[in-house]
Amino acid sequence: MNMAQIHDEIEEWLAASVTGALSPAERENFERHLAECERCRALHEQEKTMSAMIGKTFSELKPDPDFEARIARQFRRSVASRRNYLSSLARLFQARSVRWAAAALVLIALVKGGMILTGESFRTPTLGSERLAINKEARQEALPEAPVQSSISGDAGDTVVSLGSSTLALSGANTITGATTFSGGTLKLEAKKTSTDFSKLEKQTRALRDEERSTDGSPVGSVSMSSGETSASVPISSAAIDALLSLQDRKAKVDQDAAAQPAAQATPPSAAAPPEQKLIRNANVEFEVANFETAADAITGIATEEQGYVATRNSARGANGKLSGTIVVKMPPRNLDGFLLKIHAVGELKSQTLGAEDVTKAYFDTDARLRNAKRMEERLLDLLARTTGKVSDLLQVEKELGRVRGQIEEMQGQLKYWDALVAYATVTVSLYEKEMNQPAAFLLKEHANLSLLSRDVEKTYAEAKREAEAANAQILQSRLERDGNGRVSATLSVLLAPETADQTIARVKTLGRIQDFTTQDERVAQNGSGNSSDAAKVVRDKVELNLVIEPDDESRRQTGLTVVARPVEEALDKAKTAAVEQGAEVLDSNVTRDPQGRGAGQLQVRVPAKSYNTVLDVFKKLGRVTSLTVQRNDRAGAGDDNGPVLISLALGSEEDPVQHTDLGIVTGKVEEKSGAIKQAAAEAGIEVKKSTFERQPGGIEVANLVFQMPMKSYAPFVEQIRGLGKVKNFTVNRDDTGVSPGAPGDESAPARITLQLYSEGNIVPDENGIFPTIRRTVSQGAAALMWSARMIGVAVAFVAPWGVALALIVWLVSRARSARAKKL
Amino acid sequence: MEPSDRELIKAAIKGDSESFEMLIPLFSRRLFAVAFAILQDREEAEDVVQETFLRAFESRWRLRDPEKFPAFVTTIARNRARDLYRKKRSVPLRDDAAEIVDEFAPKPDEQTFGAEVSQCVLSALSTLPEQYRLAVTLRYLEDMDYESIERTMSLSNGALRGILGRALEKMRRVLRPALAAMKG
Repeated sequence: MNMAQIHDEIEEWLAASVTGALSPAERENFERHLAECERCRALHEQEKTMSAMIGKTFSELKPDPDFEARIARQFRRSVASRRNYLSSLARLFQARSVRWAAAALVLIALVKGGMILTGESFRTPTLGSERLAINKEARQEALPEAPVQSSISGDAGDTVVSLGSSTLALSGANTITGATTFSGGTLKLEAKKTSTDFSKLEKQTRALRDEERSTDGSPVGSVSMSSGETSASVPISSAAIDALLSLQDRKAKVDQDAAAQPAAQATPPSAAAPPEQKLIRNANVEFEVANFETAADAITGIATEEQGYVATRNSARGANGKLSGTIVVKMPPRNLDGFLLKIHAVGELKSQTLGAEDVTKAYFDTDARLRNAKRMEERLLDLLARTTGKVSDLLQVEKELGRVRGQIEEMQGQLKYWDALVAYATVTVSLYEKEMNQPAAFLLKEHANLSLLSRDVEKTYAEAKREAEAANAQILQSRLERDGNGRVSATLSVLLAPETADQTIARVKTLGRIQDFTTQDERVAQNGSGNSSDAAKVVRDKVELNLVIEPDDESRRQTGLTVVARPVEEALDKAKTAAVEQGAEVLDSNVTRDPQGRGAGQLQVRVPAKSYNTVLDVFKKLGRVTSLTVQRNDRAGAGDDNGPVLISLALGSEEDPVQHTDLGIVTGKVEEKSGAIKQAAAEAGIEVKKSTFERQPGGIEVANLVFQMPMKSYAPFVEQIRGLGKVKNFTVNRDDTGVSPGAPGDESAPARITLQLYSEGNIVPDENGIFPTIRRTVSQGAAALMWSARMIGVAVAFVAPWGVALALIVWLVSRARSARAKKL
Repeated sequence: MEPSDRELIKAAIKGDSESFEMLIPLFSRRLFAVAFAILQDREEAEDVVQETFLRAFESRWRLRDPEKFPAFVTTIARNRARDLYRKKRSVPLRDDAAEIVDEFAPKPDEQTFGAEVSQCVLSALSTLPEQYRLAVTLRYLEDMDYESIERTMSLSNGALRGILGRALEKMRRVLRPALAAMKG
């Protein structure tokens, strides 16, 4: 070790020496240096003194011996007092899998949140198809073991068990879940449809009951059904639920056995139920029938057929004459179901309740007591026979015997009563005739609105009034009006007797041309509630007729005429004057002239029939006729040609050409030649519609000229044009649809020639050559670049929110971590 | 670190509070030294040690490597002591109280020589930066070897020598008058 180095780093060496950190070799070197260097020696002395001072100071500050124990004690107390759940939760996050799961959850939450925000719907599995599956499962599970609820309670809504074509609904999951053992619970069966399903439902219920009897023989409760919202409730055992669930499988069998059913039914006590079973069965049925008596007779017939009898029958006639009443039928229990099925035919079933009361226990209790009492009686009799004692004893025995006999009779009576009830089920059939609540009659109020057009309003008005008086009508209102324009109109409002109303209205209708006719009916219920029915009586009330008569000034014939004439104003004046001279009425006339100098005129006149032809001739001579339409309004009265005729005259200074010709001619000196042809046109009296001249950068000269001329000057002019140069293209387009009355060969029809004169330049077309190709390539490349940039933008728009969200999560987590670390 | 200690720490990290309790005797004194180095107050230092163990137990799940347990608890203790120290300094009443205490304190004549020396040493110590103070305190208060100190302070191998050298040099400079008096 270099001595100089020790000298330079003396502080380190000093510290190491006083804190005993020098190795033996180091110490030797150090001491050698101290021996040589006085300054370092002095420093070493000071250092040693100080070290001793520090050591002494700290030795006083050392914790007392009890320190560790104290800390440990306090720690134990604190840990026991605060079991930190948060920390244990935080500890959970130590596991990597938990972290992943949390991240996945966050991701799912983001997706779902996004879906909700964007309103995008995500498909939830529909319950419908699952339901069936659940039920099938339920059925399979339920069959081998009793607790059905474990399999069905999973379904939130109503559990539907499908049974063939009809549907049984186990309504309300709680009904099923609530009943742990089904013997005490209630299972509600619901059929959606009425009558047809009803019998099926009943069959099923019966099958159910049979099932139950055969399985455990537990008591049958009440079965109630009502049509409309047909429902039946049966308290049944869990075994019966199994049976119900398996019913679908047995449905076919049940149907097959339908014929055999009565036979099976006939022996329920012997075959199905224990022989001791004492059941009192009863039923309440309600029908709406067409006729009470017929229905009651039918029921009586069926009752007899089924070995029952009618116990009571009563009926009452209501205020509206309809009968209602009840029939009480006694029926052997085995035939009850058959009977109920049969009587469904008598009318519309409104409700049905089936009930059964199990008196087995009470019956046999009573029976046992009766036997005891009889034995008692025997013994008493025995005693009486053998007694030779005192009279008072005798009397005592006699008295006791009397009491016992009373009991016996009472019990026998009770048993007989029960026997009677068990032997015959009680069926209470309520019948009422239909339409109990119909109103007695309706009052039919009719309103007729008739609007007539008449040439002579006043005359028609008088006739209508006369007609009304003849029918003895009550005139409510009548009015005849003449307004400022000399227009006459009339209104008449009458009440017509119901018997004559139709005829009178028919006659009034012939008085003029019918413009409008409406009738309106209103039924007002009388003497009853407002239950509407078509069968109710309808009484016709007086008919109100509102008649409006207006003058009929519509022309029978209309003629439209289009004439090309120049100048328009002059022609219009001429036409107007001629029409007025012939006694026509000018309805409308106007002239317009647009900025291009094209004029248009409209004239509408109504001329008497006699002068129609004269006026039309005058109009036709005004210029070239391009269209003529004649319209007859036969609705206004056929064959009446004496009415005024409406003539609409349209005057125009311009006419669409019937023939278009496009000519393309290549020539030199375009400007010069176009000037020449224009001049030639002017000489031939041909109109130049348009002319343009253009010299393009490539040295190409283009002149466009449009000429319009009558057909007669068309051919020579085209020849003239063709002489100008080389004809490049030549198309002729003739339109003969705008038929002019002047026939195909009309020489005055206008024709139009569009001429393009152009010189041929020597310029290479734009699309070829190296530069355009390069330019095109570059522009295509630029377009592709722009497209890809746009796509990148789209991709960024897709990814960026996720990136931001993830970055945010990472940032938050790291921040939370660092915050926690700082806290520590 | 001894293998048995490592096993103990492992069990403690897993949440065995009894194992954790057994770690207390092993580390409490050195944590006390750490806290004292910063706070220069025995009672407060003890409170800090107390709290440190509790916190270490609560956040034990953050520690995976048992080797790092000493550094882990030291960091907790240091941060906690610093917080407390900052709080203490921010309350001005403390200074007034110190003066009042001074008034009632025994006069220098009555004080034993040792008490005076301790006062000097402590005040000299308080002039040092925290790291130096910590190194000196751990060495003198706990008599810890260099290696343990380096591990506790999360220092690299051999760094402590330089630190201690500078620390003692600085102290010597501050204490020069006292040392001179001692000689005299």
